[in-house]
Amino acid sequence: MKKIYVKLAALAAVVLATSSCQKSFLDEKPYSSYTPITLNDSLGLNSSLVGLYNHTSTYYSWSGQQGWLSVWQVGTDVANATPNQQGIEIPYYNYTLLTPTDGAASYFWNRNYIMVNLTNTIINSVEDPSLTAISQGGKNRISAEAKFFRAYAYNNLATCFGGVPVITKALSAPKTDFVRASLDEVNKVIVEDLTFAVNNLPDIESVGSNTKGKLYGRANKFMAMQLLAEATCEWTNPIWQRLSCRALSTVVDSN
Amino acid sequence: MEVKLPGKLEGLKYRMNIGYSYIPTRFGSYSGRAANDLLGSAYTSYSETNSFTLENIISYSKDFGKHHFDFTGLYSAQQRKYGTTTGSSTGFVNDQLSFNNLGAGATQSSTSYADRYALNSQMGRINYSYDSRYLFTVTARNDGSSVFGGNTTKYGLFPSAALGWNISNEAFMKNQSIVNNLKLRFSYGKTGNEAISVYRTITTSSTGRSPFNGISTIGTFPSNMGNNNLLWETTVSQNLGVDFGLFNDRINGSVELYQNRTKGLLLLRSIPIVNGYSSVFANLGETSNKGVEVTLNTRNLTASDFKWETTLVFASNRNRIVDLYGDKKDDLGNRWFIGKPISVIYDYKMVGVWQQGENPADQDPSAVAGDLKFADLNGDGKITPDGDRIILGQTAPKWTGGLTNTFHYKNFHLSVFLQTVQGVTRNNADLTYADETGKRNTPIAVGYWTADNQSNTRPSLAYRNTRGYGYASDASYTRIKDVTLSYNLNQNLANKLGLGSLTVYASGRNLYTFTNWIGWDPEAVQSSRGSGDWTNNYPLTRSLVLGLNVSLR
Repeated sequence: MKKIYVKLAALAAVVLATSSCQKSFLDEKPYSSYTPITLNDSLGLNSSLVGLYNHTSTYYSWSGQQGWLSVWQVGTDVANATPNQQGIEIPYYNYTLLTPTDGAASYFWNRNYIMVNLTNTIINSVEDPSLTAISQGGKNRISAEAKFFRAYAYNNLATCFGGVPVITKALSAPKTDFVRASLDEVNKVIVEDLTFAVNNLPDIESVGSNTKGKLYGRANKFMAMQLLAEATCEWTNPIWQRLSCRALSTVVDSN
Repeated sequence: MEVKLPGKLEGLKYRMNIGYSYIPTRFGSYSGRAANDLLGSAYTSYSETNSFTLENIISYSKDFGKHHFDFTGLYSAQQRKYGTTTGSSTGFVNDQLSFNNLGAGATQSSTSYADRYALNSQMGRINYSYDSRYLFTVTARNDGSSVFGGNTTKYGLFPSAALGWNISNEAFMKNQSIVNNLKLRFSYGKTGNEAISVYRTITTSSTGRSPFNGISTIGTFPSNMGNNNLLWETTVSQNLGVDFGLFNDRINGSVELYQNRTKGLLLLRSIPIVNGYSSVFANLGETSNKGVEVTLNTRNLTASDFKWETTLVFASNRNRIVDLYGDKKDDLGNRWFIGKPISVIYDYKMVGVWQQGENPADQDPSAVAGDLKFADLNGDGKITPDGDRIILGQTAPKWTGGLTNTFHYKNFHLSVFLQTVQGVTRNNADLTYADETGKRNTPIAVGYWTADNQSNTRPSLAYRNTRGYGYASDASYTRIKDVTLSYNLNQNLANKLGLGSLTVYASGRNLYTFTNWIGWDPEAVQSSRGSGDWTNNYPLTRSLVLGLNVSLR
């Protein structure tokens, strides 16, 4: 009888042992993926910035049905449509087939809003006051590079679609009730981001370097200046206005 | 391991189960220099899964008089750890090394992945029965799974109760000879479904490389949105069943009626890309299922030489979306409509093909002869995605049935199984393509419109299908699924030959299908070009088997 109780006690100990680690037992930790919130040190943020360049490359490398570059060039002097065209560029030289669910427009929309989220994630991490391992100057430089890309995305969106939803914080939960901001609001974000970028990005010769030399491929202040000039030119120059969706604002403004 | 207690505590048992498993896998492949890219490609992968299960079970069982009572309590923990590494390499000097030296290839790449899953459960169950006539069960489970969100407890409580009444054991059933078995069952309860795999609750980043000054640099970018609020998908169900046997089981079977409501379905929901992500897992909406399942076995002829038995099964399910986001609104992006089945085909309504001489200006201005003609449902003079698409059908069958007839004549046995699936609509990928200038073998039934052959069902080869019409087709079918004829050698003869038994048989599967579907088979999943597992499309096969079964003594 006594023996049994001893055994039972031993078993109870096992039961307790398993239940005592219960709290962390169900915790989840991704073993094979980085999470944005843990990429908040200098190296992590730098890799996130490199991610922006990687993402930019996907704007132009879309080879689905061989069409992405043709979308912009078929029907111009650069390329013409052969009789055997297939793919997403078709509606761009045969406008009767252009629909609101057109693949190319949706792809461009998609790429730019993903860019907005990537840059927002970086900007939020940098602005988090609990981040003390990086100096204010370092923070500004990281933020400036991200803001340059955010302005790039919003400039693309405003040019093609006019006033679009403006999101300047990374979303932690899904949202479905987005509304178009006015074109002025979009332009305001672009100017603010680029002004910050012009003031905080390095000169061409002050960019960082790797073992093969200076990283001239990374954003510098003159790139930000050029983008700012291009964007503002679009909403002040009458020819540009007619070419982009920003013509809408001309109509609105003139009334 | 089990502990039984003596004396007054008799009937009380404690049991502990510990299970551990280790499953390694290894895969290697090599495609030689004479094949594919002519460089030689080797690939290897190794994986291992370590899992353990620990169960502590206390049970107590007691009989007094005609009463039976038992209790079971369970506490269990489970963990599974998985890890895999793969390596691949191309550009070999010759084929001698196969996949045994990846380092000998000109370019190499490797990947690895690991994850962990854990589940914790507590369960209690009480069974009570009286005189084998009344049966009663109450169960409560409390399950916690690692896959759920950090904002939640990760636990779900799932109670249920079941009643059974064995009518044929009642005294008043003793004096009749028609019904030999009759049992009524009813259950009501809540169950939970895990429905998602690991790491859906955490926003994760992918990595990609970008070259700077010719140096490949790792970049990271958030690519999967996690939802930290995910919790169990729960179903409340009611089930009423009758088991019966008449005329000494000459007719027997069961009828099952059920009704259930599922809330908080774990689904990958499409969201506007303005979020930065195109989809996220969420506990969504509510669906209902109502259905009936019938099984009927009859022995039609029981003469000594010739016997005939029939089994009939029938099942029908009505599946509806009750709500999605709490606002009773349809979700067009995901093709979810309130009051309709979960999986429907929502598309334009094809009414024919534009013929020469017809004027499409009032209906579809850009159409030319040989294009598909769609109904202008909202009558606005053009075909638009907003106004001219409707629900064309559901992708789950409205009802299914099976009929098995078995005939025995002396030592010959013939069994014929017919299967039917009705009320299914599927998009037919075969119809989406022309023959792609000879690159694709389309079924002979897929014709096309020409000026000479003015088909009213198939478009011309020049038709581009810019609207992405999916060619929804009726995929209902009735199939001769299996016919088996067998002969058993007389047992005396078999004995003389020194054999336990000897059976000769011929059987055919998927012998014939009655259907309006064009293409391989209404059941075969065929991914269209570039989607899913499209390089491995494979039809349903018909097989004919001649066999001999010999058992030795």
